[in-house]
Amino acid sequence: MTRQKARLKNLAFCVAGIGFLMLLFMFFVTASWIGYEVKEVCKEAMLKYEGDRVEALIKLLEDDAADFRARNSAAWALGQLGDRRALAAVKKRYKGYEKGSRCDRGAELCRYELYKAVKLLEGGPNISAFVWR
Amino acid sequence: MRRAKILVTSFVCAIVAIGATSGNMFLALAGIAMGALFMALVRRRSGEVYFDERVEALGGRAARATFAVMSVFLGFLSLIFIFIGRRTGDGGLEALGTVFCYVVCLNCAIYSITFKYFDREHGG
Repeated sequence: MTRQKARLKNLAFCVAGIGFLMLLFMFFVTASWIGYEVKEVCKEAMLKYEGDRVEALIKLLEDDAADFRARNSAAWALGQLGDRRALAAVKKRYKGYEKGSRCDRGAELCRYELYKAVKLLEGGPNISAFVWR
Repeated sequence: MRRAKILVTSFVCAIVAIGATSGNMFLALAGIAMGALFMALVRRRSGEVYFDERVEALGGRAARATFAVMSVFLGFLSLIFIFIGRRTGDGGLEALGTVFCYVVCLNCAIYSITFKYFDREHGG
């Protein structure tokens, strides 16, 4: 019986360890992907607008002539970067957010995207940022 | 039994390939499930005892060699991807290199855990 218990314990440790490693792996891969996406959005913005990446993203967000998808991505990227210089620009566009409301990313500036960006820019936790920043 | 295995593997591969190319994930999953079910049934019917120390030892050596080769290969590949990605400014390549790095780390960590598991299992 004790031998059986020890075997079960060993198996449980092994399965838990591998499960934990898988989760850790998925977290790091997702965080790397987020970092890659942020860098891509920054690169696109810097091709069109002057200044460093935050300034270029702010200009993209404020450009009413630009595509809404690109502007939503800019808001998201600004939140991910967490640079407080962007807070005023994001807040200016933010008109509050109701839970569950839907958004067409190609037709409007998404309130949820802006809400997330404001939260992150105000110092909210961003657990994936340490991987790619 | 070996013929049945080859047949089932070919069948599963074909079904998964058809499912993947036609974008039908359910077909691929159904193919895998049917293959597993068929193998279990065949094994139960034949009633053979599958324990060959030589095959097991060879499998262990092959698995260790595969681990070593793939770890080193992916490690080098990831370094090359990261290096080229940074030099050319290709973020996608750099991200791919980073993911390969994580795959190598995961490989090594799982190897260590399973090694420890089997070590304890066999009275280590």
